Amino acid sequence: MSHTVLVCDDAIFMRTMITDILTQAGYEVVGEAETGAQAVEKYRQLKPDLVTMDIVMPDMGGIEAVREICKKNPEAKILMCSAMGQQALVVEAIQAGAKDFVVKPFQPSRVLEAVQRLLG
Amino acid sequence: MDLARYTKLFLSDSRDHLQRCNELLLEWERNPGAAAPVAELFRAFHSIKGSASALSLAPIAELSHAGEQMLAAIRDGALSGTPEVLDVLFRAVDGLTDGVEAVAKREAPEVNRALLDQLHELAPIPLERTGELPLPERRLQERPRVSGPVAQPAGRQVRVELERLDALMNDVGELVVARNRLAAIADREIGSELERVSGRISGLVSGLQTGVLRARMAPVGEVFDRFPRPVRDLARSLGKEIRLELLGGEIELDRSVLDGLTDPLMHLIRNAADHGLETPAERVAAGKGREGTIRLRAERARDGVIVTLADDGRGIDRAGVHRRAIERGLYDAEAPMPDATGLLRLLSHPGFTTRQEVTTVSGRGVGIDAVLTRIRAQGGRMELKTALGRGTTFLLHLPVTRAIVRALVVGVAEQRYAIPFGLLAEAAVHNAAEAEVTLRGEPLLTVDLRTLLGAAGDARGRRPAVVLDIGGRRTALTVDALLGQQDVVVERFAAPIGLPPWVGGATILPDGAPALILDPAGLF
Repeated sequence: MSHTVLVCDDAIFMRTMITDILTQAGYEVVGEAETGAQAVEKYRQLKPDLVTMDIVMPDMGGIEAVREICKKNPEAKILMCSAMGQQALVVEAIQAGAKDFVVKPFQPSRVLEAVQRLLG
Repeated sequence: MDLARYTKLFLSDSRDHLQRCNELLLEWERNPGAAAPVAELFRAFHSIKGSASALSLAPIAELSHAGEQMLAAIRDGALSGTPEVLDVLFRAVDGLTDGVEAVAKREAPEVNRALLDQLHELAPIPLERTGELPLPERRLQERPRVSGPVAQPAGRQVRVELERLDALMNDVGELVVARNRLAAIADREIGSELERVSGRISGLVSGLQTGVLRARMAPVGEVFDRFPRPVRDLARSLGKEIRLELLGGEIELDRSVLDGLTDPLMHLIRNAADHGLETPAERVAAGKGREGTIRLRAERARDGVIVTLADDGRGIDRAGVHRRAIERGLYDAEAPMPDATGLLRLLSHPGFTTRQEVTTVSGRGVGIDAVLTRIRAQGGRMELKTALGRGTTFLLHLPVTRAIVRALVVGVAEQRYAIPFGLLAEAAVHNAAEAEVTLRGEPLLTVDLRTLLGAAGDARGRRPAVVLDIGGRRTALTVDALLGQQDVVVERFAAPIGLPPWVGGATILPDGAPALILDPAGLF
């Protein structure tokens, strides 16, 4: 059975791109979220194997969403997607419970590498 | 990577973001004391940066990054939202818009070094500090607008390209024509199975037609919302204080009508700002408030939508226009002063102007002719009201949709013509012995379609006439026969030069014969 993924990003552009990369590699994107609050809610509903999380999102940012998700499931596998120049925030996200990060713009190979590593 | 698909996403996304940025910046400039919408602006710039860099559009990515840095500096208190800073942000939005539109035209976006330098100069932040920290969201739910409510989408939505809806609309148009032909055949066999099936198909096609038309509708607010920014810029460059009021933005129009509305409205707004509204000093001297108002309002009307653009400026100098028109030989010096309709006719004379000097804002002349042509092309018409010292109002009467209209089919000299229902008031009888149709004791301005078309033969006795309501004025059009009502599909065609203004389009009648659609507003 393929692994399930929840893609969280406020830009439809990025969601489409990440979904394409993952789907082509055989993962199943089971849901998308546009805000941090949606990410938390959909995580609870869908219980995906992995979450890709943008940092800048309206209505609760990505870091806070990571904190919320990890409060309920410290084992949650969350991959942060950050823009260049957000190193400080990536550190904060990892401290909040995220397991790894990739930097936009994405290299598909780099994204898949990180996903495979997280899913073991 | 499917580049075309991503580029499309990038374009539609970025345009939405930039539109929103303009709204937010305007709101911010208007209420400098209120909570600055830095977080939302930041996200918009950030989002554009992300997709631009994914598409290797370096100039756009760089500019949005610089804007983002500046917003981060404001958020962190290192910079405050001074008019200068806001101005640079406005220009960054403009720069990004240029870049995005260049991409839309398959051109390479250009780097605006001067603007980048200015952004860097105002917000000199070391790179490692440019990261964002989500601000507490103060204004996520309330989407501020300049004034008045504008429809917010409700429920789940899908984005559909207009071309797809156009294709669907074309098919439905053909289907309506075929349905009408089928109904005409079935009518010969009343009570037959054919008639029953035809009736059923008629109902279904009507439903489909309504559905497709509804899917093409979009709120006028989408067009209205483009104006606050240019109005602000106009006010600045003209040294005037202008308030723009937007009302009725939730009213819906067909996408194609809506798209044809932006340019004419922008033109009229420029006119209002440049010619209509006075300078603050002039206004004070005239006993008015310093700030002039331009009010843009959409309202539903009997058979369409009326968009009014009103300013509270100096009004049109009727005597001045009259004088100029006589000088230019456009108006008979003996004739009485023109009324509002006559005034509009004079103003819409190509290149007509009452001004000697040319301004950079609206160029030479008022260009009402261009506006009128565009509005007519949308199947609409225009009215003017003006009062010296109190202001000028343009009323644009627009069809809700231009693709399919309900029309009355009339016959004149073996030919059939369709008259859209929008202007019809009632039917009357014209006695050939009299020059005019008289309705309830009142003589009406009457035009005989037969004479107008130069049809051979003599018209005698009593013939039917169609009474029209054009801008509140009742007029009559005499025809040979009233042949019934019909949903006609307006076929667009490139109008040959010299086509009279009362030809509004063409259509195919149920029996397959072509017919012209009349635009009676062009007759009187």
